[in-house]
Amino acid sequence: MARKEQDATIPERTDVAVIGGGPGGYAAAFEAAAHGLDVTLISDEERIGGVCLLRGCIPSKTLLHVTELLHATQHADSMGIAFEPPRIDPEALRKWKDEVIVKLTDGLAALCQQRGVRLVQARARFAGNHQLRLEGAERDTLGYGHAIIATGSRPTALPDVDFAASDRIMDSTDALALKEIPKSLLVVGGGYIGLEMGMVYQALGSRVTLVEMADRLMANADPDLVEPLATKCDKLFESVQLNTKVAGLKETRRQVKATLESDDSSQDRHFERVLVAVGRQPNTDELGLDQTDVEYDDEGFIQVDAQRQTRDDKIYAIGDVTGGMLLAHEAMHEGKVAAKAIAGKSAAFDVRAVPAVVFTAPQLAWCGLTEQQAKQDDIEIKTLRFPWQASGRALSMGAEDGMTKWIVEPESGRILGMGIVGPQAESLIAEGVLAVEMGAVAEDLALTVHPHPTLSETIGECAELFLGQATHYG
Amino acid sequence: MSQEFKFSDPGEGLQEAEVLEIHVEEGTYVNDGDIVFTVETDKAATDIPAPFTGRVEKIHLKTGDTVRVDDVLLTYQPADEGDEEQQQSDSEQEQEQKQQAKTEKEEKEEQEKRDADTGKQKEREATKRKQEDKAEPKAKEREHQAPVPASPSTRRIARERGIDLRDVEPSGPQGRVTTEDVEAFGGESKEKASGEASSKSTTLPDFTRWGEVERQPMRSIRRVTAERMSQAWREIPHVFHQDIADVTELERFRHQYEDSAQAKGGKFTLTILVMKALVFAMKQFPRFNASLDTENQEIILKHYYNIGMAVATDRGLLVPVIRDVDRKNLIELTEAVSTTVEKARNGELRREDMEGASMTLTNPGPLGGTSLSPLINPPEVAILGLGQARLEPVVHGDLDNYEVKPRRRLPLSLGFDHRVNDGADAANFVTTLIGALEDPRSLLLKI
Repeated sequence: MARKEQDATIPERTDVAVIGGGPGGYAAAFEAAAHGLDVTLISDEERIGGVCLLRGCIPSKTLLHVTELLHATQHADSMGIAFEPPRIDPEALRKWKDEVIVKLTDGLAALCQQRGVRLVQARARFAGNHQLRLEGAERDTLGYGHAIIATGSRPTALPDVDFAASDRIMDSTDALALKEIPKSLLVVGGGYIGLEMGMVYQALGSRVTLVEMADRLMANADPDLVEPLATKCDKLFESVQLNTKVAGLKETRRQVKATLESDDSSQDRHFERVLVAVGRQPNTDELGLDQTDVEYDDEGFIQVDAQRQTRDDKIYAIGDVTGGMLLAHEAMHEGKVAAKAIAGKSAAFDVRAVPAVVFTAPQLAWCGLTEQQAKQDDIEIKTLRFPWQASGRALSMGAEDGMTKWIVEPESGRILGMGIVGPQAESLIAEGVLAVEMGAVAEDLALTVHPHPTLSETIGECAELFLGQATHYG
Repeated sequence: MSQEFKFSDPGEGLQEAEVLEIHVEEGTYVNDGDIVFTVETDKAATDIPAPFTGRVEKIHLKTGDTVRVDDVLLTYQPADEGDEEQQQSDSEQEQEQKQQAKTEKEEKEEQEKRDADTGKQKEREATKRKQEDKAEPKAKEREHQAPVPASPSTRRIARERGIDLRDVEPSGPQGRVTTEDVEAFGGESKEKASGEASSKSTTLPDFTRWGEVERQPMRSIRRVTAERMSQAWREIPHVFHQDIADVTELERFRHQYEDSAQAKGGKFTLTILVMKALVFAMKQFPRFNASLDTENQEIILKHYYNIGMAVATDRGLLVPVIRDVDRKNLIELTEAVSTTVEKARNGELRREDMEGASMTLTNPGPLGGTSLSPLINPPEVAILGLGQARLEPVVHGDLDNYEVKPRRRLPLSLGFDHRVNDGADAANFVTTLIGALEDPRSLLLKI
């Protein structure tokens, strides 16, 4: 299809106005443009890419890569290779991370140009009558045929904590900025952001204390998968305190006093910095949604159907603003669905396995049905577990605490879900996603030849357990 | 609050039906059980009763429309609320009507969109249900059904065609639905309808290059016939056995009793006599009164004698079934046949009127034709076709000593399933049939 040249001037009306320049927004914009629609992508940031590129996935994974290197050098000791303690140059590290971001956002801007997506830097609000009010752009208003809300989410604050006003109390954005490496860090929240950033700072030299309100870390993953990760956290962190909440944070000149409360005790502790990672909230409060028929819940998450259409039939919403797992890849997929639906195609968000990956050491990944979800919904399943002690490749890399796990239908062996804990889980999980989406059965996986010696063998061998014994286990 | 009355499966896993008649108007007050629509499903007319008492607010379709399961037929105001509204003063009602008129355009737009994309509507309802489920985890437990295993691309094709994967017969291991299964299930791709290139193999040329054309929709009967006959032609190894019966005496007999039969029941036709003779032959050769169970590798022999009778109507070909032909005398049979033909022509046949035949008899003979190759109506294994009975010169005797006589001769064509019967069986069957037809007196004894 012929691409239109990007027109920098803002027209009176556009076919599709995409609000938000994150992965969901740009994926939607590209898809809509590919269907020949006039697309305007509006973002209030200088660079497009959204939280994912600027303050989320990409910078955190850049830092986690460094963390992995540091862990590897430490681990090498037991393999007969000794390294000097590392010299860490925070400024150079920051620069490396920022370079990665710039490369990617420049690439995206070029793609917009190439695909005829008009980029507008402005704050957009709905003004009724299929109009957007633009703040900070050369035109005040922009009419739309359809609008896609893709404004994402932001970190939720603790009550009485203003991230902006505080230097020592950080949200994930501040933590990724890597202003300094504190001697002591309190991480509030045992979800994936708290664990990932806790590990980054620990590897860079901070003493990390982690508190979590619930009785375990990563509450939405199966406990058996989380266990190796929890054990590692116990080892790396100064302490991991479960069933504990932060009753107060008080910033002094050089420290933050945190009041940590558990069932039977309350203690005051001092930290140089605190990272609050207790959840995220949707960016829907300043969009002027009251000017539309869009419906949203008490927390501000927008209600949509399978086409991502809101109750206002000219407005679609995708990604974090609609709740769910708040994952970039989910948002991208949803963005494409919304764009196709607007282009009159028969599209729907019909996905059976959205993979979730936690980039800690060890990595944790799962997709489809989890064991605890099956229990909660009273779904009969069979669980197959392949411990990595039985994998030659895992032993050779010192990853014997890993595990591969299938959740299958007890009768047919139909793959319903997969869980992995261990190195490379981020890539290994993809086979599980495909298996669930294709409606594969355990036998399909068992009869598929996996390369030896690799961690992917554990996937095939785990499936063999459904048929009887695996070559190296059971 | 107004509620929706949706089309649900009237039986046997049907997906869609054509609206033949609408018995109510917007504003009509109906009682639970009143017939509101008549639809044609799989060749049969079916009345749809209202499952509610109340006032019809809006009828969402018109005669000739095709409705699919889950489509909204009408919206109504349930009784108690409707009663209140009936008590409203006229002026209030007028005002309401005005308001309605105002929003009508919007509604129409919405409706058009819905019509254009019923699949989308379904999906939306599914999400709505999902959202409700979220709010009520217990409801989710109750309604939990494992998703049908199928690849994402298969699911996309099903979505485009508005097919629920649960309705598709899976061919893959452990109930996995393949793209081929969805394609075999049918359904028109909506995207194709919107002009996009389709993946279907037969692409038609642009006929307008050679002159003016018009396009006619394939309505229910035509479509079902097309599907059934393709299936029969695809799956059944047909063999045709032809012969000619001398029906001179039989016709003489028939004309003799025509008037008295007419007085008692209806038209005493040749078809009726052939039907009787056919039952006689079937009794001798039970494997023509059979069905094939390929899955269990068994032949099912039937101990009843019901004959399907092909009837041409202005709406298409229908095959109503005349029950227990063996137990009816000729007068009773005449009566049964004529009422059935009339019902068929008036579109009054029920689905059950067209089920359960032993074998089908088709007689296009009166319109002409000396030979035909009738296709079996599955799950039967044979069909008998009749050509035109004509007066022809027939040679009796041998070359040296012969005589030419005018005889009325009826061409017979037996189409049979070679998986169940062989050529010799068919020859014997037809010969027996001819024997019965040529000697009406013995036929009388036999029946």
